[in-house]
Parts: sequence; C-alpha cells; structure tokens
Amino acid sequence: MDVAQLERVSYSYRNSPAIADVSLHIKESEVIYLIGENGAGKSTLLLILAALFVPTSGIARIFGKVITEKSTKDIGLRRRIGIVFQDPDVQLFSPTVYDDVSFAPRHLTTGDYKLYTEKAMETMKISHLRQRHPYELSEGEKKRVAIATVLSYDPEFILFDEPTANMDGRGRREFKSLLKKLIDEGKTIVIATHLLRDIVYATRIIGMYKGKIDYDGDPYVLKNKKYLEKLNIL
Amino acid sequence: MNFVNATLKSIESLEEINVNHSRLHRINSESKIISVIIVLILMIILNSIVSLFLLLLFLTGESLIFERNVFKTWIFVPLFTGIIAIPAIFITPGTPIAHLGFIAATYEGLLAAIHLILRTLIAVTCVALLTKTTPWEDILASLNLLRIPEIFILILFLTFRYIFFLARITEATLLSLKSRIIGKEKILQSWKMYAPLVGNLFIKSYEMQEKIYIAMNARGFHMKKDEMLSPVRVRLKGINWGYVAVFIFLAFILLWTDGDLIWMLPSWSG
Ligand SMILES: Nc1ncnc2c1ncn2[C@@H]1O[C@H](COP(=O)(O)OP(=O)(O)OP(=O)(O)O)[C@@H](O)[C@H]1O
Ligand SMILES: [Mg+2]
Repeated sequence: MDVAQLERVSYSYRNSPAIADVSLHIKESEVIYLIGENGAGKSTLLLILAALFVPTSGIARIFGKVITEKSTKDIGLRRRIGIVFQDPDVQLFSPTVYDDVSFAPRHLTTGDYKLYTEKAMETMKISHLRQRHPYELSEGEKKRVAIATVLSYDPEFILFDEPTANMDGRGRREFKSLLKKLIDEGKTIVIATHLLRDIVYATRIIGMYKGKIDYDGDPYVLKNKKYLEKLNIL
Repeated sequence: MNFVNATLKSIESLEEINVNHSRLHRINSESKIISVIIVLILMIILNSIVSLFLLLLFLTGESLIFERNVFKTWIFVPLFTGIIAIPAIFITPGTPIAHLGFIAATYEGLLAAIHLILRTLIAVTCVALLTKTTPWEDILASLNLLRIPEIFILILFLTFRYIFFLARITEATLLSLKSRIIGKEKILQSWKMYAPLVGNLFIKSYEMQEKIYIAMNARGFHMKKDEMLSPVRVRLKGINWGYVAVFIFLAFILLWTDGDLIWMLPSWSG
C-alpha cells in the first residue's frame, strides 16, 4: 500500500495560495528529498503529508485514510507519522527538554514512556540537557531536541523540514548516520532542504517551483547545474 | 532595559518547576488546584486589607516552608500593578494626605493601591506554589478530572505558552531594535518606535500560537479525555483532604472576621 497519495492537492493560507495542483505517490521505504527555493511550498507540502493540514482542494490519502479535519486528530494515524518542523521554537513547547521528549510517548505509545524517552535522548545525545528549558538552548541543540521528540515514538513515516540547518559539521555527520539507521529500519522518509551538499541516500528527488512540482524523478538531476539554477537553489 | 529583563526572568521562573521534591510535590495536584481556587475566591471577595494581609501571610509561610523559589515571581508584580496602582493613589477621590504639585495623593487612593498589590501578590504566590510543585501535564489532567470544560483547559494551556512566547518574542524584538539604533538617539524617538512594535508582537505571537497548536496535534495532544490522559497517567489518588481542610478552615476564619477586620484600620485624620 502507498504511504501517501495526493491527487491534485492545493493549499492556500487565508487566500494566499502556497501549493497548487500537486499529485504525488509515496511508497514504503522511499527516501525523498524536496528541493526548491524559499517560498516554493516545501514546508506546506510536508504539513499536508503529515496529515496536519487538510487540502483546500484535491484529495490527500495518508496510509489509505482520506485527510479531513477529523482525521488530522486520528490517534492511529498520528502514531505512524513523525514531523520535525522547520522552526524548533514551534515544535518545542514544554517547560523542560525531558517533558518535551516524553510528550509523544505519553500520548502515543503503550508501555513505559520513560524507556522511549531515554532511548531517543541517547540517540540524539541530549541526555545532559534534560532539565534545561528548550528555549534557552542553542539553535543546533534545539534541532537535536526537536528530532528526539519525533524519534521518541518510533513512527514509520518521518518528515524532516530543514533538519541540518544550523547544525555544525559534527551534527550533520551524526544526522547522516541517523538517516542510515532509519533507512535500515525500513522507514519512509521525506526531507525538505536547500542544502544540496547534505543530500545523501536519496532514492528520489522532487523539485518544487512556485507551489508546483516541477521535477519528480531520480537523483541524477542533482548533477544538472542548469536545472538547479532554474530552481534558484544553486 | 534592566527592568524589562528582570520581568522576563520572573515570568520565566513562574514556569520553572522545581525538581527538588519538597513535601508539597507529593500532595496530589487535584488538592492543590482546589486550594488555589479557594484562595482565588477569597482574594476576590475579601474586603479588608487586614484579612487580605493575613491570607498573604499564610501563603508566604507556606512558601517559606515548602518552596522558597516562589518569591522569585514577586519581582514581576510591580510591572502589572504599578501601571494601575500608582495612578490610583492620585485619581481616587477622598481625603488628601500629600501634595505633589497640582495633584494630591488621597488616603482612599492609597488603600486602593494597597488592595491591588495585596491581591496581585496573593494570586501570584498561590499560582506559583502550584506551578512550581506540579508538572503542568498533571495540572491539565487534574483540571480535566475536576470536570473543568476542555475548551477552558485548552485556553489555559495556550495562555500559559503564550505568555512565555510573548516574553521571548519581546526580548528578541527589543534586542533587534537595540541593534538597529545607531548612536544615541533621543529617548522620545525610541518610544515612538515602540508603539508599532507592540501591535506587531501580538500578530507574531498569535501566529506562533496557531503553529504550536498544530505541533502539539502532531504529537497526539487532543482534548479528548481518554486520549489526552494515557492510562498510565490517570490515577485519581483521591483528594488529600487534610491539605484542603487547612484552606477550608482558613477561608472560614477569614470570611467570618472579614466584616469586623474592615473597621480595624485607623481612619485618617490629617
Ligand atoms: N502561515 C502562513 N500564512 C500565510 N502565508 C504563508 C504561511 N506560511 C507560508 N506561507 C506562504 O506560502 C508559500 C509557501 O511557503 P512554504 O513555507 O511552504 O515555503 P518553503 O518552500 O518551505 O520555504 P522556505 O525554504 O523558506 O522554508 C510562501 O509564499 C509563503 O509566503
Ligand atoms: Mg520551509
């Protein structure tokens, strides 16, 4: 079964259109990179794929479920999807790092939430930050915590919005090995980025331009300088 | 800018839960919420400065014994009350007690200002006692168990986050403003710049709030009882009646004597 199926999906923020007429199928275990200039609609598309936004028109099916206002709150669906937001300040809303990482396990998993929490903090190497306030961390640290909040409930479809922005060299290398691990576990992954040099393990590239899908195919396109220039991302 | 910073710090510290467990941490959150509600009702209906003062004294005692960090939050009382209390001293009609140029401070005005400050201190102290000794998820869960409508809990929760974001955004905005003021501009000019900023701040924090709600939804926060409280966390331990009884007793005494205490103030004879 397809993980996600979008049929002619459009989305507008209060009358300003962000994506238009997007059709897309995503299969299990694909590793897809969304590329495109600022404002191309990458984040919006991710929020639709995460079943958090209901399309203004068209149909979005995620894990076979048609996304409506009601299904955005479907607990069964939420458990299977994880999204790391572009802005960690939006993602982190609890008083301490520990509270934030344990938030999803408390709501979405069965069994001991503490185990899930500890494991995620260990993976992202943030155990020492557990009692800190998320808002007083450095941007790179925030991003690590944001990723941990999603790993903590082990979703099978993971969406990352600019995961390596603000990360230092070591952070980016560690993200790469995290990605490898997730791929080995068979996760389906979509990553929005405009840092072309950070693209690894891609099985498919989707190029966005002014709210539309302009390219959808194999990663060889990354060698096509002319095309990347046209997308304004080189 | 120091005053702004101090206020921000104390707003932040309102949110900070103390991890060193005191005895107050062990009292379940339902009991603490009931006691907060009792105190807030008292705060509203007590009339006498003396009984308000006694109530504050009781809360101060409780904080001294269990949770001294509460006092950090007192710093932010002047911001909210000062704006209203200081003018009240002068504009409330009554017996003048001191003159400042054309305007006079009145005895009634002074009383009104003291009332206001006492009430604010009471509210801040009892809420800080609760939030510093109780994880916020427990507070939300207990409100739910106490049958407070879900929409109120959601608003409360978002307000809680909102205050903090407003503070943080204000801090960042002030910094960015500071960074763009080249040389020493006149204070008046910089005040002119603040005005449109305030409107901007509200729009920003409003958008932030919407986004945070989406982010919470992404990780399974819905206001449905059975979903919001995963089985591990629903454990109504029974209300700790001993703790609540102290507050009921206190309320009883203060309400009993309030009418008498109101006469205990010396009347001003200039
Ligand atoms: N909350 C919002 N309200 C109104 N318009 C918005 C909002 N968020 C995004 N937009 C608009 O929607 C369009 C697509 O934005 P989106 O955030 O999806 O782009 P993006 O590709 O993620 O950009 P970036 O690379 O800068 O993150 C933009 O034109 C943007 O101005
Ligand atoms: Mg984006």
